[in-house]
Amino acid sequence: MKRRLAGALLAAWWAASPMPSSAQAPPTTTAGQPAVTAAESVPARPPRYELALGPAWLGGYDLGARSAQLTGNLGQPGLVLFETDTEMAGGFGLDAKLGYRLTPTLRLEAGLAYSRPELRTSVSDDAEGADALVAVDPVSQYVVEGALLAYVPRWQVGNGVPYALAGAGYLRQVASEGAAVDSGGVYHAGGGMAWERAGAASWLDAWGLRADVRVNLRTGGIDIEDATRVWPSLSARFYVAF
Amino acid sequence: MSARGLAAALVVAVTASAGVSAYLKFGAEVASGTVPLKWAQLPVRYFVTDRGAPGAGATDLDAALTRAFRSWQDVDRATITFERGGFTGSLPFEPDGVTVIGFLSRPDLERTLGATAYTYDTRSGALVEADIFLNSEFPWSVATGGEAGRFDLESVALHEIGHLTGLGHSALGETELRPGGGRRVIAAEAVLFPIAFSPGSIAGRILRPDDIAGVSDIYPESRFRSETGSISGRVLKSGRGVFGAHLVAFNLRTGDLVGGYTLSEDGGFTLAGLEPGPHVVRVEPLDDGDVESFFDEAERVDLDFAATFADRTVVVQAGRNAGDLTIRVDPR
Repeated sequence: MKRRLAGALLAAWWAASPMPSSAQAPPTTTAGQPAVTAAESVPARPPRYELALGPAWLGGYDLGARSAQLTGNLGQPGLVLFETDTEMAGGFGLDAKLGYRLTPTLRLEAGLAYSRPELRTSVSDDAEGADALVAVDPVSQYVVEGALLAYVPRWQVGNGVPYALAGAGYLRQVASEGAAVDSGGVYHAGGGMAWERAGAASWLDAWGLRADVRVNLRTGGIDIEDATRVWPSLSARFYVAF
Repeated sequence: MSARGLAAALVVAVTASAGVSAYLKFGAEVASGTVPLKWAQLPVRYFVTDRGAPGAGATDLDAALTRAFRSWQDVDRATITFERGGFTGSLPFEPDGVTVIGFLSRPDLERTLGATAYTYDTRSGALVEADIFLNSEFPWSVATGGEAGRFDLESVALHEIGHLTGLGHSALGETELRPGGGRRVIAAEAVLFPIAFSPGSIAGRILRPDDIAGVSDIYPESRFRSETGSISGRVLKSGRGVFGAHLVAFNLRTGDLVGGYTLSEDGGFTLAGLEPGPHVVRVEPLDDGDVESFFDEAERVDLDFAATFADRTVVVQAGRNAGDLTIRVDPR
């Protein structure tokens, strides 16, 4: 998986490299007319910093099934007292980022994400007929992360400029009403689209909207086995650049 | 003996001791209240009666005991140790201040493979003597792989030595009534389950997580408290606490099952010695054995409710207690 991530990053870099900066000539259409690009609205002095905030949706992922098993008497198989199936259910969260524009097409970003997924265990097939239920424990999840974003203006769609991103972060999960804290690592890669406009105030160089979809990999954290988990996420952010 | 009381008892738990946690620890009544029954002086020195039984000579008994004591002593996070004193002509259940383990012929105890009796200091609750008798009326075996029709001596010794350390019975098992009376084990997940596996089985030679948590709780290594966690809460029926309910915590990460009981009138419980990880908690009435084999105040034990799961998954962290879990049960 690391190899694939590196591949995605290289591809993004290659695609981004030939991109002209806002001070250079804008790309043209096949008819030879100047294209309407997001770069047109970017001021002569490119903004250096970017602050973004918005909601995120996180997909869930399965943690696996387990049987509560008792040792059987002579010549008998073990007795399953009950069955369980556990997942980390998806949910909504909040995402804040502080970006630094390395070049017109490259951003370095640090962020904090908060979400409230649920650890859900379906319990069933009780040997003594206990009612099946879903035992739930809400988890407060924090991710501190860094990412590299590569914008690809040559693939612009309307006013939207696509970008690719990849990064890594530190995961902290607080469960059981604060009684348990676990941590791990999160790695992500994905892509999105940004729509930017020039700012109207002296302190505001530009503002815009960004939306991206990611694939996330997690190691560590609350789990029932030592495994890497994968889940999708979607986020939309309003941002200001200055 | 003027400063000491003599309390010889078969395997009967003393209850109503606040703070008693998972599995079941014996309690001793002392002036200040109820304290866990345990050895203050380690290693525990024991002697073996130089008398055999059908299928197991005195040296066979000695060897089986050595293996069984080693199993308890090898528990990672427990400090208890044992020392073999050698053979003796003394018999178990003689209150002489010496811990003796041996065969006795007790045809009157037709369903009892073995039992443990204690002498403890009534001021401190410290154990002074704990004798184990094994009933020579039963056919015994010390064969490596077990022997059809014979009870495995090491398995039964392992169970009784668990009592010798101060542990009571675990209810982690399922049984069925036998046509001729008594109960037969279907399955169990604790050496300290009160009913033995059938003759020929050697499954009782291995300590289970419930046994390990129990002995570690009584004789904790310093890292026991820092490397394991606990779950506390209450079991309520119609708004009132349930006494004597059996709980089990199932670790979704390790598959471990560790049991415990509600031991106060408000239905309070603590399941301790749990390995870190998410747990499912289940409560059921104590109906897989004679209630008297768990509690000496059987009339206080509420059996009228249905098995129920907690509606919360509980994530246990090392060194911490996940408290305030309330499980509401309904009458059957």
